[in-house]
Amino acid sequence: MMRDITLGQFFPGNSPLHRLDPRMKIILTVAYIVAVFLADSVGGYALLILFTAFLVSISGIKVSVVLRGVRPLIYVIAFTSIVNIFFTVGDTPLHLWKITIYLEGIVTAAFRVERIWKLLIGTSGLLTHTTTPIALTDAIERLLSPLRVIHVPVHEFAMMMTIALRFIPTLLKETDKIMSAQKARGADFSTGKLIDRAKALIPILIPLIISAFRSADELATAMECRCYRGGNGRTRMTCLKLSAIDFVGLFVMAAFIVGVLAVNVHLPVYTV
Amino acid sequence: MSETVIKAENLSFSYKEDDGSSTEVLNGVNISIERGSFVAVLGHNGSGKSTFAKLCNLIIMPTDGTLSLFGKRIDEKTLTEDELFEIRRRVGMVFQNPDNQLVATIVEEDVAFGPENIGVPSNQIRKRVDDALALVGMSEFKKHSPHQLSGGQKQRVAIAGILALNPDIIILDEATAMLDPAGRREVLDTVHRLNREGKTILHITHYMEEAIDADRVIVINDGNVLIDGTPKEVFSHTELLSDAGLDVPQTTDLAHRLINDGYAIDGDLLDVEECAAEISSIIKGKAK
Repeated sequence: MMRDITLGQFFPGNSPLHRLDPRMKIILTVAYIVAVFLADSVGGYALLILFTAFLVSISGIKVSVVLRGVRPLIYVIAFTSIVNIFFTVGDTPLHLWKITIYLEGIVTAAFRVERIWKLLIGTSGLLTHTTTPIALTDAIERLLSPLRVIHVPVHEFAMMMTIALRFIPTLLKETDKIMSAQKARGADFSTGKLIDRAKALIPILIPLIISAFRSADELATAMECRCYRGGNGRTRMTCLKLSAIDFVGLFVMAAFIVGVLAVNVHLPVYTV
Repeated sequence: MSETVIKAENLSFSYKEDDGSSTEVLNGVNISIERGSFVAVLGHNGSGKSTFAKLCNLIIMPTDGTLSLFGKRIDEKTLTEDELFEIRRRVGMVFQNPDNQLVATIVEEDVAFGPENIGVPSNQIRKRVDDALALVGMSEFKKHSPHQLSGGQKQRVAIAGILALNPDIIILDEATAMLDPAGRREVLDTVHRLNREGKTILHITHYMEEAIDADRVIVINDGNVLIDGTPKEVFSHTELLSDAGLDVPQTTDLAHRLINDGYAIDGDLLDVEECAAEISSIIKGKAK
């Protein structure tokens, strides 16, 4: 049941996106997000769609997998479109039965939906599907390390993220085990009113929380036994190094952003 | 006479309860452990055996008595942080639940955790990790995620994580308790091999069979050493052991029952083969 979640899952591979330095990948993802917000004309959006399709195609990840990652947010997308369609006032009224909507509303809705979509594919999809969680936390730690000067516990945050990621499969397994144990004793999670179902979750959550605390305690002792004493004086096995492909990536992204800006200026059709 | 690596004299440990009273877990224990030996520590739940293990790498500090590690007496007041972490490096500990001691999401990253903590230069960590994984026979799984491994494999990764710190002593604190028989075999074979390569092993368990192959067995009951000797000596005390809530190995149990019934059989038999041979010779002797 919980195994179907693809959002944020890593898929091994050897595509150019997989080979990018994780630090560069995070920076490029931020640049991509900026580009998504910069694009505000039909031409800009077309370019955005083409570029995203290009990224997906070189990532080696199946289109269906990328799309499945977006599925949980379908309601957000639906809500945004409805709000935009019915509440945007423009110059081109369209009369549908007794309701009046405006063409501009439909265009805005389409743009907004497109924007949410692209954001999701770019961040959840392409970043996390092509980067191992450990590389990701490692990169975050290194990118944020200048903040250490102002006493931000960067290493501790990264360690917390690593451990959280490490324990996701363990806790899922534990949840399955507790659910089976409760089902064996006649617990019912799938029928009844919403409030009954919510109540049925309590006997799962409490043992799960207790077991998580126990795990945390034991893990802390095990870490101490392995000489863990925070980030000071710690070395790393893998050293991140920028290579040619990272600069190619940077160049491609820069060209794309320039392209989006140029299209915005020169082809201002349906700007929002 | 080889070097004594752990020496406990009159060692005690007690917990402070919330109401101010204290509960004694270890009560004046005297144990000394030689370098290179394989020692099994037996005891039922709550006997204090795990507390003894935690004292050996200073996760907890003794409340009374003296503890010497590697010939140096431990004094909580003068112990520096560097000395403390050096002792933790030299005395590695593997715990019961394999899931709660692996830190990273990739096997080799987890093994690297220890060396990274003590500041080994990056280029040397790779070699340490590869060597440690080879020693426990897990090299082919180095890119795997821990949750893809079996219990026995996870414990071997945990042992590799300790080995990467190049310790002198490895303590298994009930490390086999949550494993199936095959997983237990894997882990025990691994630690026996490491012992032959010179590591001192302290194996804390409540499985009698696992103590049979040890050089020495120490039985702890109610915070005290009950029996201390070779496996044969220890298992011949069947009544003392059952009073301590422990079962003797089935072979020894059988031999002792036969002795009680008046048969002339060696009561020190631990090996199934030895025991079968002895019994069959008695049966044959009777037939004649």
